[in-house]
Amino acid sequence: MPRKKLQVTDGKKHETRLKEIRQFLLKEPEEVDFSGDEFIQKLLSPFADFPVEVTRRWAEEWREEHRRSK
Amino acid sequence: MARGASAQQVEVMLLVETNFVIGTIWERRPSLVYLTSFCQRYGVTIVIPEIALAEARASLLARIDRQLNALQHLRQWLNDIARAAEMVSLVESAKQSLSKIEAELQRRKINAQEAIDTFAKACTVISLTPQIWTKAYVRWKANLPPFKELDCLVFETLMDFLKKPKAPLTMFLTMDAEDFDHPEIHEAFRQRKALMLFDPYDVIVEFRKFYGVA
Repeated sequence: MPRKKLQVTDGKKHETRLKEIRQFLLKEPEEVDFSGDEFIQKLLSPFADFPVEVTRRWAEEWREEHRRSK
Repeated sequence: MARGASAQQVEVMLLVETNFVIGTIWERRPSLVYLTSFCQRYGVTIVIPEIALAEARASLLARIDRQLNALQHLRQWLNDIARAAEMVSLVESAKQSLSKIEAELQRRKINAQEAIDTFAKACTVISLTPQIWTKAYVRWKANLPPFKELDCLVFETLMDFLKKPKAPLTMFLTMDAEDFDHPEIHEAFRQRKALMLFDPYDVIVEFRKFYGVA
Protein backbone atom coordinates (compact mmCIF):
# COMPACT_ATOMS: atom_id res chain seq x y z
CA MET A 1 0.00 0.00 0.00
CA PRO A 2 1.30 3.48 -0.82
CA ARG A 3 0.61 4.70 2.70
CA LYS A 4 2.74 1.97 4.26
CA LYS A 5 5.59 2.77 1.85
CA LEU A 6 5.48 6.45 2.88
CA GLN A 7 5.75 5.51 6.55
CA VAL A 8 8.84 3.40 5.87
CA THR A 9 10.46 6.30 3.99
CA ASP A 10 9.68 8.70 6.86
CA GLY A 11 11.15 6.25 9.32
CA LYS A 12 14.35 5.97 7.27
CA LYS A 13 14.64 9.74 7.00
CA HIS A 14 14.14 10.01 10.73
CA GLU A 15 16.81 7.42 11.41
CA THR A 16 19.24 9.14 9.02
CA ARG A 17 18.62 12.47 10.73
CA LEU A 18 19.16 10.94 14.17
CA LYS A 19 22.40 9.36 12.97
CA GLU A 20 23.64 12.72 11.68
CA ILE A 21 22.62 14.45 14.91
CA ARG A 22 24.51 11.87 16.97
CA GLN A 23 27.60 12.17 14.77
CA PHE A 24 27.57 15.93 15.26
CA LEU A 25 27.05 15.67 19.02
CA LEU A 26 29.92 13.21 19.38
CA LYS A 27 32.29 16.03 18.45
CA GLU A 28 33.45 18.67 20.91
CA PRO A 29 32.85 22.34 19.97
CA GLU A 30 36.56 22.87 19.24
CA GLU A 31 36.61 19.89 16.87
CA VAL A 32 33.98 21.20 14.44
CA ASP A 33 35.14 23.19 11.44
CA PHE A 34 32.61 25.93 10.78
CA SER A 35 34.48 27.52 7.87
CA GLY A 36 32.09 25.85 5.40
CA ASP A 37 28.97 26.64 7.42
CA GLU A 38 27.36 29.49 5.48
CA PHE A 39 24.89 30.31 8.24
CA ILE A 40 27.61 30.66 10.89
CA GLN A 41 29.89 32.61 8.54
CA LYS A 42 27.06 35.04 7.81
CA LEU A 43 26.62 35.65 11.56
CA LEU A 44 30.33 36.09 12.26
CA SER A 45 31.34 38.05 9.15
CA PRO A 46 30.67 41.65 10.36
CA PHE A 47 33.29 41.38 13.14
CA ALA A 48 35.33 38.39 11.96
CA ASP A 49 38.48 40.35 11.12
CA PHE A 50 38.73 41.92 14.59
CA PRO A 51 40.95 39.92 16.97
CA VAL A 52 38.67 37.93 19.27
CA GLU A 53 40.30 39.59 22.33
CA VAL A 54 38.95 42.93 21.06
CA THR A 55 35.37 41.77 20.50
CA ARG A 56 35.40 39.91 23.84
CA ARG A 57 36.40 43.16 25.54
CA TRP A 58 33.43 44.85 23.83
CA ALA A 59 31.19 42.09 25.17
CA GLU A 60 32.59 42.58 28.68
CA GLU A 61 31.98 46.33 28.42
CA TRP A 62 28.40 45.59 27.36
CA ARG A 63 27.97 43.23 30.36
CA GLU A 64 29.36 45.86 32.70
CA GLU A 65 26.81 48.37 31.37
CA HIS A 66 24.10 45.74 31.91
CA ARG A 67 25.27 45.16 35.50
CA ARG A 68 25.02 48.88 36.22
CA SER A 69 21.52 49.15 34.72
CA LYS A 70 18.39 49.03 36.86
CA MET B 1 14.33 10.03 23.87
CA ALA B 2 13.89 11.30 20.38
CA ARG B 3 13.56 7.86 18.79
CA GLY B 4 9.79 7.73 19.10
CA ALA B 5 9.14 11.27 17.94
CA SER B 6 7.93 12.06 14.43
CA ALA B 7 9.96 14.31 12.15
CA GLN B 8 7.36 17.08 12.36
CA GLN B 9 7.07 17.12 16.13
CA VAL B 10 9.14 19.72 17.97
CA GLU B 11 11.50 17.57 20.00
CA VAL B 12 13.74 20.15 21.57
CA MET B 13 13.47 23.86 22.18
CA LEU B 14 16.28 26.14 23.23
CA LEU B 15 15.29 29.45 24.76
CA VAL B 16 17.97 32.11 24.76
CA GLU B 17 18.51 35.76 25.67
CA THR B 18 20.78 38.65 24.64
CA ASN B 19 23.98 37.03 25.92
CA PHE B 20 23.56 34.17 23.45
CA VAL B 21 23.64 36.56 20.48
CA ILE B 22 26.49 38.67 21.88
CA GLY B 23 28.43 35.54 22.83
CA THR B 24 28.04 34.07 19.35
CA ILE B 25 28.55 37.12 17.11
CA TRP B 26 31.08 39.12 19.17
CA GLU B 27 32.81 36.61 21.40
CA ARG B 28 32.72 33.69 18.92
CA ARG B 29 32.51 31.34 21.90
CA PRO B 30 33.03 27.83 20.46
CA SER B 31 30.22 26.25 22.51
CA LEU B 32 27.71 28.91 21.40
CA VAL B 33 28.75 28.73 17.75
CA TYR B 34 28.41 24.93 18.06
CA LEU B 35 24.90 25.20 19.54
CA THR B 36 23.78 27.77 16.94
CA SER B 37 25.07 25.61 14.11
CA PHE B 38 23.57 22.44 15.60
CA CYS B 39 20.13 24.00 16.00
CA GLN B 40 20.17 25.47 12.49
CA ARG B 41 21.39 22.25 10.83
CA TYR B 42 18.94 19.91 12.54
CA GLY B 43 15.88 22.09 12.91
CA VAL B 44 16.07 22.54 16.67
CA THR B 45 13.99 25.58 17.53
CA ILE B 46 15.81 28.52 19.07
CA VAL B 47 13.41 30.84 20.84
CA ILE B 48 14.29 34.41 21.74
CA PRO B 49 12.16 37.17 23.27
CA GLU B 50 11.71 40.14 20.94
CA ILE B 51 13.10 42.44 23.65
CA ALA B 52 16.32 40.41 23.91
CA LEU B 53 16.78 40.41 20.15
CA ALA B 54 16.25 44.17 20.07
CA GLU B 55 18.80 44.65 22.85
CA ALA B 56 21.35 42.52 21.01
CA ARG B 57 20.75 44.42 17.76
CA ALA B 58 21.09 47.79 19.49
CA SER B 59 24.28 46.74 21.32
CA LEU B 60 26.02 45.39 18.22
CA LEU B 61 25.13 48.44 16.14
CA ALA B 62 25.94 50.90 18.95
CA ARG B 63 29.61 49.92 18.77
CA ILE B 64 29.77 50.84 15.06
CA ASP B 65 27.77 54.02 15.71
CA ARG B 66 30.30 55.04 18.34
CA GLN B 67 33.09 54.56 15.82
CA LEU B 68 31.17 56.65 13.28
CA ASN B 69 30.62 59.39 15.88
CA ALA B 70 34.32 59.41 16.68
CA LEU B 71 35.02 60.02 12.98
CA GLN B 72 32.73 63.06 13.10
CA HIS B 73 34.69 64.44 16.06
CA LEU B 74 37.91 63.90 14.15
CA ARG B 75 36.51 65.89 11.20
CA GLN B 76 35.64 68.77 13.51
CA TRP B 77 39.19 68.83 14.86
CA LEU B 78 40.58 68.63 11.35
CA ASN B 79 38.57 71.73 10.41
CA ASP B 80 40.15 73.47 13.38
CA ILE B 81 43.63 72.39 12.34
CA ALA B 82 43.02 73.43 8.69
CA ARG B 83 42.81 77.09 9.72
CA ALA B 84 46.58 77.08 9.48
CA ALA B 85 47.35 77.64 5.79
CA GLU B 86 50.18 75.13 5.67
CA MET B 87 47.97 72.37 7.10
CA VAL B 88 45.19 72.56 4.48
CA SER B 89 46.53 69.98 2.07
CA LEU B 90 47.43 67.54 4.89
CA VAL B 91 43.96 67.90 6.38
CA GLU B 92 42.37 67.32 2.95
CA SER B 93 44.31 64.10 2.57
CA ALA B 94 43.31 62.97 6.09
CA LYS B 95 39.66 63.74 5.35
CA GLN B 96 39.76 61.59 2.22
CA SER B 97 41.03 58.69 4.32
CA LEU B 98 38.30 59.33 6.89
CA SER B 99 35.70 59.18 4.12
CA LYS B 100 36.98 55.77 3.08
CA ILE B 101 36.86 54.54 6.69
CA GLU B 102 33.33 55.92 7.08
CA ALA B 103 32.15 54.12 3.93
CA GLU B 104 33.65 50.87 5.24
CA LEU B 105 32.00 51.31 8.64
CA GLN B 106 28.64 51.95 6.98
CA ARG B 107 29.09 48.76 4.96
CA ARG B 108 29.90 46.84 8.14
CA LYS B 109 26.88 48.29 9.87
CA ILE B 110 24.65 46.92 7.10
CA ASN B 111 26.45 43.55 7.42
CA ALA B 112 25.81 43.51 11.17
CA GLN B 113 22.13 44.26 10.60
CA GLU B 114 21.95 41.45 8.06
CA ALA B 115 23.67 39.06 10.48
CA ILE B 116 21.09 39.81 13.18
CA ASP B 117 18.29 39.42 10.62
CA THR B 118 19.72 36.06 9.57
CA PHE B 119 19.80 34.94 13.19
CA ALA B 120 16.25 36.20 13.79
CA LYS B 121 14.94 34.32 10.73
CA ALA B 122 16.35 31.09 12.16
CA CYS B 123 14.57 31.67 15.49
CA THR B 124 11.09 31.84 16.88
CA VAL B 125 10.86 35.43 18.12
CA ILE B 126 8.36 35.92 20.95
CA SER B 127 6.56 39.24 20.77
CA LEU B 128 6.31 41.61 23.68
CA THR B 129 2.62 42.19 24.37
CA PRO B 130 1.09 44.86 26.63
CA GLN B 131 0.07 42.09 29.07
CA ILE B 132 3.63 40.80 29.31
CA TRP B 133 4.95 44.34 29.67
CA THR B 134 2.51 45.00 32.55
CA LYS B 135 3.52 41.81 34.39
CA ALA B 136 7.19 42.65 33.92
CA TYR B 137 6.66 46.19 35.16
CA VAL B 138 4.92 44.92 38.31
CA ARG B 139 7.71 42.38 38.88
CA TRP B 140 10.37 45.05 38.42
CA LYS B 141 8.63 47.55 40.71
CA ALA B 142 8.17 44.84 43.37
CA ASN B 143 11.92 44.22 43.24
CA LEU B 144 11.47 40.54 42.41
CA PRO B 145 14.13 38.49 40.58
CA PRO B 146 15.56 38.91 38.00
CA PHE B 147 15.34 42.51 39.32
CA LYS B 148 16.44 44.53 36.27
CA GLU B 149 13.76 45.96 34.02
CA LEU B 150 15.03 44.33 30.82
CA ASP B 151 15.53 40.99 32.53
CA CYS B 152 12.00 41.12 33.96
CA LEU B 153 10.72 41.67 30.41
CA VAL B 154 12.72 38.67 29.18
CA PHE B 155 11.53 36.51 32.08
CA GLU B 156 7.82 37.36 31.74
CA THR B 157 7.99 36.86 27.96
CA LEU B 158 9.40 33.37 28.50
CA MET B 159 6.87 32.56 31.22
CA ASP B 160 4.03 33.56 28.92
CA PHE B 161 5.47 31.51 26.05
CA LEU B 162 5.88 28.44 28.25
CA LYS B 163 2.33 28.49 29.61
CA LYS B 164 1.63 25.36 27.56
CA PRO B 165 4.24 22.58 27.25
CA LYS B 166 6.17 23.09 24.04
CA ALA B 167 8.58 20.20 23.60
CA PRO B 168 9.76 17.08 25.44
CA LEU B 169 13.03 18.90 26.14
CA THR B 170 12.85 22.63 26.74
CA MET B 171 15.88 24.53 27.99
CA PHE B 172 16.53 28.14 28.81
CA LEU B 173 20.18 29.08 28.45
CA THR B 174 21.29 32.30 30.11
CA MET B 175 24.83 33.35 30.92
CA ASP B 176 23.43 35.94 33.34
CA ALA B 177 23.56 33.91 36.56
CA GLU B 178 23.85 37.09 38.61
CA ASP B 179 20.30 38.11 37.71
CA PHE B 180 18.59 34.78 36.95
CA ASP B 181 20.07 32.29 39.41
CA HIS B 182 17.41 32.66 42.11
CA PRO B 183 15.20 29.93 43.65
CA GLU B 184 11.98 31.67 42.48
CA ILE B 185 13.19 31.73 38.88
CA HIS B 186 14.30 28.08 39.00
CA GLU B 187 10.91 27.10 40.42
CA ALA B 188 9.04 29.05 37.74
CA PHE B 189 10.90 27.21 34.97
CA ARG B 190 10.54 23.88 36.77
CA GLN B 191 6.77 24.35 36.94
CA ARG B 192 6.79 24.90 33.17
CA LYS B 193 8.86 21.74 32.66
CA ALA B 194 11.85 23.69 31.39
CA LEU B 195 15.46 23.49 32.47
CA MET B 196 17.37 26.68 33.21
CA LEU B 197 21.07 26.35 32.48
CA PHE B 198 23.93 28.83 32.79
CA ASP B 199 26.71 27.10 30.89
CA PRO B 200 26.42 26.44 27.13
CA TYR B 201 28.31 23.19 27.59
CA ASP B 202 25.57 21.94 29.92
CA VAL B 203 23.12 22.44 27.04
CA ILE B 204 25.33 20.31 24.81
CA VAL B 205 25.35 17.63 27.53
CA GLU B 206 21.52 17.72 27.69
CA PHE B 207 21.34 17.41 23.88
CA ARG B 208 23.66 14.39 24.06
CA LYS B 209 21.49 12.73 26.71
CA PHE B 210 18.31 13.43 24.76
CA TYR B 211 19.62 12.08 21.47
CA GLY B 212 21.21 9.04 23.10
CA VAL B 213 24.86 9.99 22.76
CA ALA B 214 26.87 8.66 25.68
